[in-house]
Amino acid sequence: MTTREARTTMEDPKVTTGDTQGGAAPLTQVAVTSGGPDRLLRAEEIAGPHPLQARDLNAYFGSHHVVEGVNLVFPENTVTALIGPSGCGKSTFLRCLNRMHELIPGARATGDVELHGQDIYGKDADPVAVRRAVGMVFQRPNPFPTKSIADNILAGPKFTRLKMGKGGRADLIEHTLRGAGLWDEVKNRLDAPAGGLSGGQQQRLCIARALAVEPDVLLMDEPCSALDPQSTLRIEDLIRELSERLAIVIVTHNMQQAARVSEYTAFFTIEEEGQPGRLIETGPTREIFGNPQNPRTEAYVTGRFG
Amino acid sequence: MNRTIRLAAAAAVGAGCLVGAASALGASTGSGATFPAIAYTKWCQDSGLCSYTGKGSGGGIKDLTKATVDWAGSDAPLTSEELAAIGGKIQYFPTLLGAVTIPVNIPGVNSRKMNLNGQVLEGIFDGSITKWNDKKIRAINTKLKLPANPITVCVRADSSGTSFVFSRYLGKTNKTSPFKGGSKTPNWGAPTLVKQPGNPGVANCVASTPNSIGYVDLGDARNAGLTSKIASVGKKGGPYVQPTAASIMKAGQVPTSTIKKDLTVDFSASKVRGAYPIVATTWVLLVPGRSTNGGARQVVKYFLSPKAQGALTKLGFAPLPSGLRTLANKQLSVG
Amino acid sequence: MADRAYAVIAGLAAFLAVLFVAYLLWVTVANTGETWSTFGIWGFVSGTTWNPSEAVYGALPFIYGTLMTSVIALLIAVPASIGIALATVVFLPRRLRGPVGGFINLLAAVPSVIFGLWGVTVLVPLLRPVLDWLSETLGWVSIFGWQPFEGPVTAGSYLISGLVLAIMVLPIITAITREVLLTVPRDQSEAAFALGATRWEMVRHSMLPWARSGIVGASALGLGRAVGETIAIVMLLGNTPGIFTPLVGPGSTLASVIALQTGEASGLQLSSLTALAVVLFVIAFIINAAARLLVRRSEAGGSGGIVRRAGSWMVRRGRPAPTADAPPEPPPIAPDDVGAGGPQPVPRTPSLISGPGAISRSRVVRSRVAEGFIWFSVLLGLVPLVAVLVEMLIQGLPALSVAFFTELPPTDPTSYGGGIVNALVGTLILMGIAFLVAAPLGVLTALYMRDVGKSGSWNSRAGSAVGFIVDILLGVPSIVVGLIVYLGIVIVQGHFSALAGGIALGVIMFPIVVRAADEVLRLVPSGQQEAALALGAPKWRTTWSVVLPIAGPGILTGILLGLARASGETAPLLFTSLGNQFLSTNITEPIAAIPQLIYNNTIITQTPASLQLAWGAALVLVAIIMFLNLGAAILGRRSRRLEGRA
Ligand SMILES: Nc1ncnc2c1ncn2[C@@H]1O[C@H](COP(=O)(O)OP(=O)(O)O)[C@@H](O)[C@H]1O
Ligand SMILES: [Mg+2]
Repeated sequence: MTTREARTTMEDPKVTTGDTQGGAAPLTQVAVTSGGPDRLLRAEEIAGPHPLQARDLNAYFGSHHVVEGVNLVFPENTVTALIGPSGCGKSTFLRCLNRMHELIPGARATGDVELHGQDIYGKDADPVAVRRAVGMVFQRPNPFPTKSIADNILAGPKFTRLKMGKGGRADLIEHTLRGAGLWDEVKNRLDAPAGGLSGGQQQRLCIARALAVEPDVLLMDEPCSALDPQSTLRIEDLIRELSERLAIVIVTHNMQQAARVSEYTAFFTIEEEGQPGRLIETGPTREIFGNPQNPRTEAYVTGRFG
Repeated sequence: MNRTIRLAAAAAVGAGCLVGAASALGASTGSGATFPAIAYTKWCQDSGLCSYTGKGSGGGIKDLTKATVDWAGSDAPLTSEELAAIGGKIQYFPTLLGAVTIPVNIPGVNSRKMNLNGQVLEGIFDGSITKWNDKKIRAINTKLKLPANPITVCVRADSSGTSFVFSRYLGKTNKTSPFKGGSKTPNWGAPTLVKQPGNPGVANCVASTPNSIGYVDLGDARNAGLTSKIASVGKKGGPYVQPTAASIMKAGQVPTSTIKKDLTVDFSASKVRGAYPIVATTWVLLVPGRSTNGGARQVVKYFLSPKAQGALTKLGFAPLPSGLRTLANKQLSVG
Repeated sequence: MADRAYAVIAGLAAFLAVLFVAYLLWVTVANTGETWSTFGIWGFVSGTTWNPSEAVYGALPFIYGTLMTSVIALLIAVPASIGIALATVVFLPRRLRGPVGGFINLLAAVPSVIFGLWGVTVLVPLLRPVLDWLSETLGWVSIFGWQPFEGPVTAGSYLISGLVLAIMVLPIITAITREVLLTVPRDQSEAAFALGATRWEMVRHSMLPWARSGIVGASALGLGRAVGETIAIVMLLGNTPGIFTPLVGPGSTLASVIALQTGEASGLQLSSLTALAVVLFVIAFIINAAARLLVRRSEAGGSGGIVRRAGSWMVRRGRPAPTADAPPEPPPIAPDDVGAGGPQPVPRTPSLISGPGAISRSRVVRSRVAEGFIWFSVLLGLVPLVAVLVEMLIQGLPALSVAFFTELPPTDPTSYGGGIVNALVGTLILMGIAFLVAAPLGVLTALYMRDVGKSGSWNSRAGSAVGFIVDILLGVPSIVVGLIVYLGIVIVQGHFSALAGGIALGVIMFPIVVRAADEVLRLVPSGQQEAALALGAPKWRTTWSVVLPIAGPGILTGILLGLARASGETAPLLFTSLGNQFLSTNITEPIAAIPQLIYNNTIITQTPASLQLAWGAALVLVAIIMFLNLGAAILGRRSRRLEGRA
């Protein structure tokens, strides 16, 4: 698929009307001028608040441009899935949403990401505070192996220096572990090092750990790819549960998983090796899977490509 | 990489052989006392006859015993055990006169104006005098304002002829002195002791420690820039004199009849007026009958020559009294 | 047939090395017999008096001094090393990390005698007021009757010695800590960052716990170095044995008393000094074994080993878990977070990610303080290095000239000029002998451990025994090597010689070469050899034409590192090659060496002129060592590339 094709579909009135009439959303204007995806998940289409949105986001590794001009909104209390072939920049984009990207030597990003209307790349935005408000769960479970299960949970609150009594700590541990569906399995060994847990348990501990700092948004980068099917199902349940409380963005390679857990889906792709990845189409998950507008999306979701 | 290793090996061997072929002096080797080391190394290089390593008299005697060197430098005659170990026979050749100076570092006090005598020094080094304002010190230093600070005593950490000369001097001050007879490693009784290797170590110790005292040979004291810190030493009633070539030579002016047969003369506590009291001669030791003695005798001969003796004053020593030199030369031709 | 010959040669080399070690061991045991029978082992070790004039010998004050100086050194060096390592891994701008790390490594190239010299002439006067102040304000402090700061302050002291020792062990602790920190996986640091950690919090909660046992191991290796340090301690500690004496006053250590008294000792005293060397060896052995265990475990097992250990520790401590049936109430976190535990997240105010309220003041302060400490450690590491290097340049450069490399030292120590040709040639010859002793034996021993020592149960047991002996040798303090070679060669032969000195240096170098060779040989992919063996090549051929070319640069790196280490040694030469004021190339005669010339020109005679010559010689010596290290680094890089290709 070429850029021109993308533009043609972009001009499809069905998709853009809302924007032009509403007029106020800068999101769409940016999207139109930069030649973006077929269908946008727009602020106006979403009922309720949307804590996080990206505008014209570009990401680079040194001179290598890996993500180009992405505009995307993440609504509250929903799960948004990012799908696309390997290497199209999903992880990179995700890491731009809480400023983890810039931790890699030579990596940088341009454009804005707004959290509650404030640009996290703004001049006086503090990346530490950004990451505390936008939590992250990684592909490989990464608990602090030498710390106890309890201390893993308390690590985040310790950073933010929330004042809690002993009882408060115990409550927080129980609350978050229950939230992550791990409580019953570990309640008798909270002082055991986290390195001793199974992979699935470790990943749920990582989720619990991320929840303990009360993030507004939780980013998950293929959280189940290193886990067995049983653990995967448990985590999917957990994701659905959590989405009642916060916005979740999940990268997944597993189409069924995207279909099972997400309300919205964004499809990224890359034209060829060395080209930047782009957002092709977004929309309610069932439409992306059931009635994709873009032939590339269709090719991907039906398994003919990628 | 084979080549690299072979190259490296070849280079190492080659370097060794090349230089090996170039020289090898076959010079007579000596080791021992550090006290005369400045003079001996200079003489060795001027004459090209020998090489000398200053490592302490005891070390030199040990090397000589094991025949790891051809001759030894010592500030002290052999102890009976040492003599037994070496086979009972040894020859002493006095080579020069040297003085042990007493550097003192008391902030606000001019050390050169400080008077010390054997009794007071003995007290400081055996620990019966521990503060600078001790009655006994004040008694002979009425003009100085001495602080109540404790005395830090800097001494040699290694076995040393300088220690022997100094402690032998202290041992003569009273009958019950623990230093009687002198020792290369005396048991100093002072409560605050700092032991440093070598005379420069002691000199540095005094220079950098307030309220300290030490003992260093004149040459090293000068080299360490301690000239202005050297106290005047005298007999009980004075006069108190600074160590100089003149005051050292005065100490050497003893009648030839008082010189012992083996040439182990003791000049310390000289009775000559105006003589610096802590003066000693130092010896080159030879074991009679060794095959290496030919070279060693050449060395001693040069050490006793007027040319060598004439260079001593500049180094902080004094030449041997002529009587002693004659006796030494005589022994050289006999043994 | 040829394979048999190869096995025999390699085995012979390993056997020779073991035999030599056994011989030295026997000499040691034979020499200490008199001490053990006179005082008993326990009586000697716990004896508090060391008095040659009364023939009473006890080791305790020296053991105490050794441990006390080393502990002070570690208390300073470990935090500073961790700080520097963190700076070069996390905090410094990327461009500066390599150079700063390399610069700190330079400290390792500065021989001990130069630190001693610098300590005596620069540090002692400089820190005098500090120590005076300490003793004036804290002199009253008493710990069970021990008054660590009680005056008088002396020139040589535990504190100064500890500080200089700290500077000396800093590079090795820093280098290993750095390696360990670099093994911390990125996902561990990202885990902390993703929770909203500052850089310091990430380090504190994610890197340090992961690297902990490696850091402990690195510190123990530093401790192993510190207990064996000789010349700097001789120059800086005041050499007055005592137990629980003030830290601002003098003490003495095992290594320093051996260095000072061995030259003159005989009989029971020499025996007791040898016994002290045995005690020192045992202490160093225990420390090094523990260190190697820790470092290896943390490198091999990642956090696995740590976790297992932490686990057992925690289980024993185990506080009871909260009861299961307690209702999961929302945790009371902070006042403004009421309800945060409930299902409805409270929308955050914009100030959350920026402005003054974004992260709390105390966090900022803590992180700043921690980073401040890290910068302070970088300074602490850099300042002495720069000071020593600058001092060396200022004092030494005026001495350098063509004559400096072609002439003998001046006849009169008070006159300037002259050169160090005798010491320069002497050092090269000593290194040549050390090379000839250690390199072939070392490489063959490593090959034995690899090729021969693996086949057959007897052989494999012998192989691991050889490996064990090499590991032990690696931790033997150089002063102990010097003393034992003195007993085993100089006394037996009846004279000091370049040969004895070179052998002592070779003994120091040997285990370094074996370990380095062993490590690279292990990395040679077995596929390469199997390919050759499958073509019908005999084992020795395979080793010669397949294995060695691949491992060569790595082996050479080890040899160069060993030479660098040996060339800076002073202590073992004092009783072996003795020194020579002339240019001698006869290896059966005493010979001069640069480190010893520096020692002589500062300790035996010291004049402004002799010091200038010493600083000049120091400059040349550091240049030689750095040249060797640089060669090792370049070769090391090349061998890593090869390894990558293979
Ligand atoms: N640390 C890195 N350094 C350089 N390039 C990287 C790095 N990580 C990823 N990339 C490149 O960025 C592009 C996007 O990678 P990524 O975001 O991981 O893709 P995805 O998660 O969609 O598979 C790829 O071309 C990849 O090679
Ligand atoms: Mg990815």
